[in-house]
Amino acid sequence: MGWSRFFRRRYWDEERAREIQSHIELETDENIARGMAPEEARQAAHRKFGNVTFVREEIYRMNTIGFIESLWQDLRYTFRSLRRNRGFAATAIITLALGIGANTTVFSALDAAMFRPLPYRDPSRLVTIAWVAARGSAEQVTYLGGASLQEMENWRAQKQIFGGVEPFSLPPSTGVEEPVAMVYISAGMLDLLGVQPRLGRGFLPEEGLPGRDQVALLSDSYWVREFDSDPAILGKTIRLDSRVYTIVGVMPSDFQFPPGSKPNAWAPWTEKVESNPSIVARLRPGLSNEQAELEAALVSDRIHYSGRVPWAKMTPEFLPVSDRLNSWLGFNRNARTALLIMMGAVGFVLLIACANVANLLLSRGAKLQREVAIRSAIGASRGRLVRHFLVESMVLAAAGALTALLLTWWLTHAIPTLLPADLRRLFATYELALSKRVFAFTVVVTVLTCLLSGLIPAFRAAHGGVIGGLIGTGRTAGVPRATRRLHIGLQSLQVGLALILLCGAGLMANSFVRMTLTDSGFDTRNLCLVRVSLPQSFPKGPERQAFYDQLLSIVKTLPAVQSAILAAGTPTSLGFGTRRLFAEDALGAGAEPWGGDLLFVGADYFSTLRIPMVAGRSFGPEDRPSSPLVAVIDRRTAEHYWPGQSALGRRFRAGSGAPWVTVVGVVASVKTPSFTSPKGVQIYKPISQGDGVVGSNLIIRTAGDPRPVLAEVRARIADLNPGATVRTAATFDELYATMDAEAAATPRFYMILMSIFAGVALATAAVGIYGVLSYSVAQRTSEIGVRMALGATARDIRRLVMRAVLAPVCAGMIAGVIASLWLTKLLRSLLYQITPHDPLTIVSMAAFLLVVSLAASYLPSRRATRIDPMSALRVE
Amino acid sequence: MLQGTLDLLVLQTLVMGPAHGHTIAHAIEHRSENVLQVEHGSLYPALHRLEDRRWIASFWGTSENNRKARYYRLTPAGRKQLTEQIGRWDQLVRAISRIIRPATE
Repeated sequence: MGWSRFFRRRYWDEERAREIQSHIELETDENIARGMAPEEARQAAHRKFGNVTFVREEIYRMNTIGFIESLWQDLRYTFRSLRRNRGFAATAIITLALGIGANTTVFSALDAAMFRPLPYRDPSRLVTIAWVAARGSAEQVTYLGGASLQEMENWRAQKQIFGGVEPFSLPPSTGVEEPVAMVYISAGMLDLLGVQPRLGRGFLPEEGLPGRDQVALLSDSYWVREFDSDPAILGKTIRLDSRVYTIVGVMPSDFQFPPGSKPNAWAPWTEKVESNPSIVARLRPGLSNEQAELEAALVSDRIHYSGRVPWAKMTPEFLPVSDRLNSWLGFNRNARTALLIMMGAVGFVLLIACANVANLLLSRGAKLQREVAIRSAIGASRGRLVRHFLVESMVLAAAGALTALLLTWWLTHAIPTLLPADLRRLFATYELALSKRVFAFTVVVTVLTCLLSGLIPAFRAAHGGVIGGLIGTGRTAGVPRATRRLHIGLQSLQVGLALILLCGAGLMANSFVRMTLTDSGFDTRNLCLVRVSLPQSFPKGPERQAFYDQLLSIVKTLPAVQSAILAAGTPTSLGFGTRRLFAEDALGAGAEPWGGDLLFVGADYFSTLRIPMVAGRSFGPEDRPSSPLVAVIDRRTAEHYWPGQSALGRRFRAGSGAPWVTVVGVVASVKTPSFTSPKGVQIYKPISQGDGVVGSNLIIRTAGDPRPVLAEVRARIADLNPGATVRTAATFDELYATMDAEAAATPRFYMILMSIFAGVALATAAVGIYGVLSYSVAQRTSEIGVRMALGATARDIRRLVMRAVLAPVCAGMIAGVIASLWLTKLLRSLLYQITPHDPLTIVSMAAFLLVVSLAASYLPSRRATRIDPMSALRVE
Repeated sequence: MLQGTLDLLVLQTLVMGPAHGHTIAHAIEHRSENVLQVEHGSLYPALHRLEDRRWIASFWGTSENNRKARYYRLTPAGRKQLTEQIGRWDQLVRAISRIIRPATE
């Protein structure tokens, strides 16, 4: 069968018809010649020929591909019938578009953040080097940091492991939040990464030497933005980092380095720029990461590593650069958990949408009973009917998917402006885009949606018997029992899923509120912080401490100052550390080791900040450098390691071999930037035992408004050393406002997202309940009419109708509560001060859901009471 | 009629020269001395199939009694096909005769 015949089958049919016609005429002519009467001759010719239509059909079938032909018929029929039922079509398509769109959008974020490979040659072979102490033991600690020049040279010599080792460094002034303006990369870095500039050239080897390094590569976006894509840019100069650079090239638009960062420009790294650079290495071809680590363990003693700890054997670990969790991206485990949870949530939203559309299709299938009966009476097989209905749901799903893609396209452009800072940085690098993977995902989701929403209704609709369908029992018997059961099942599913999402949203909202209500843990009124940094030329060590001590004594003389102290940090700088606390005694050692940070403070730190002392003592003159090491810990840590017992006198250390430290006091926990993470320890050590730590944070408590004092202090600092820079001069209220805003941004974003999903789920479920009930009331009109005629009151009728809702709602809620108890555990890492099983949240969400369900069933039940018995019965 | 033999008969009929469907049907009947009765309608799907395989080609012409009719003629591929089919047919007939009259010598 040729395709040309397929596409011209109508032409061929006409052609054969003419031919057959001519055949019959020829035969008739002959019959007449034999002496028959014309009419008799014609009939004889027809008899001789056989069934003309049958022959034409046979030839037509030869010209077609049966499957495509009937699929085309189904499609055309579906389009016609959907055009006739615009309301039904619009409801189904919008529902599915929301469900699929939410999935596609979240998946495109997941795709961007987790699946897209880094834009380097063979990125899986690029690693960065970390050192692990006490590998495999409970006290394992991983150290990530820069490498000394000697360490880098040692690694470069390991040709059996690496194909190349190249350094880079970030400019020292870069804060965490600001976009990085410029990154220094070694001359060989681009070769190591396997990336070429889109314009111009990379760095020459001699440009990696001090004095020759005034050249720069521009990022594509910076070139477009600042230079209007000037093709003659090469050779021009640009001022970056207070120096003048000659532009030698422009990088491709997807280039990023370090991974996750798109600075404006790159300049050559030289030994003068940074003597402790980060390094990227490419594993030798054919060597797996594990093999490479084994090889490296063999030579690790010969590698000069400046960060060795005396108390444990240290071995190198190669962390793949493309592993987003270990990269410089700052895409942490929490963000990944959150994204996966959001993916799950939108999956539920889609399931609810599918259940809704399945309900719609079920009701519609019941309405089409007569048509189905006629079609099967004239020979349509069951499979053919099922396929017809599946085609209908496929058309709905496809239309939903197309709408969803438009929605996603718009959202991926709008989203980056709505994101909290950490995700915005992530997606500034991994641009959200409708990649091939996203399209493939959409196709898979669409097919699943079609099957999930269409399969059961299709079988159900195709099932109706010929006789029953033709007699049209629908009106008297109400909804068929099997259909009703399916409706109930689907409604229960919707209610259950909606409850899970509501519980998730409720927990996140609850946790968010607790987050914002958490106070600092000490008295921040009239308390302020001044941080001063001294120029690089200022001598290190004791001279610096002397400067700060002098500043402190000056500040103490100011009239409005009640007290002032120096500390090596502040509560707002606590909580970023990763060092872990290991207890000595059996009880404490049994607890999971928490990580956290420590702060070196003076004796009067707690009294000045008014951090309540819970037990024991603060530091005193007895804590000299030579006396036993002591520490004060916060209450939460004490309760975690030594529940129900006093922590005083207990000892802990930072790892096996590290010196033991004795707990002498317990203070209230304070709010730190990582306060939402439940496993943070707060350790205070006396600055006298700090081994030269400089107390450079000036904390001042004033009698009244601290702002005039701050101005005064600034002036005194300028007097004391004109080269000193005031980094911070703010009240703690201001510091906490900033910190809270940053800490809350991400939880707020997820809370809002989850609430939107839960809202959509709830609305969809309510629409589902409303739709099914309206349909069932319409089907039972005559039954209700009879009941009313026999004396049922409006209340009876309302109860009758609403009872139909209670069964699925209750079943769904029970299932939903059970599933919630199980599923919300996944939220644990995103929750603050609330257990995932918080009974109040679950009960109130269930109650809320019940109220919404009853509200959704109110209108149909009221409509039922308005039925006029006379006209309802007259229809029969 | 035996499955597939209609194709063979149609091709053989066209060896004499181009003919239209009506002629072909009658030719088969006459030359088999009315043993093979063709329902004329069943001829057309066969003609369609043969033309689809490019063993025959068709054109509109005028019949002997001045009616428009579609004529078929054998293509070179059809001629080759015919030789092959006749060979296969002869083989089949010989094989069947050997089975049903095993001891004629």
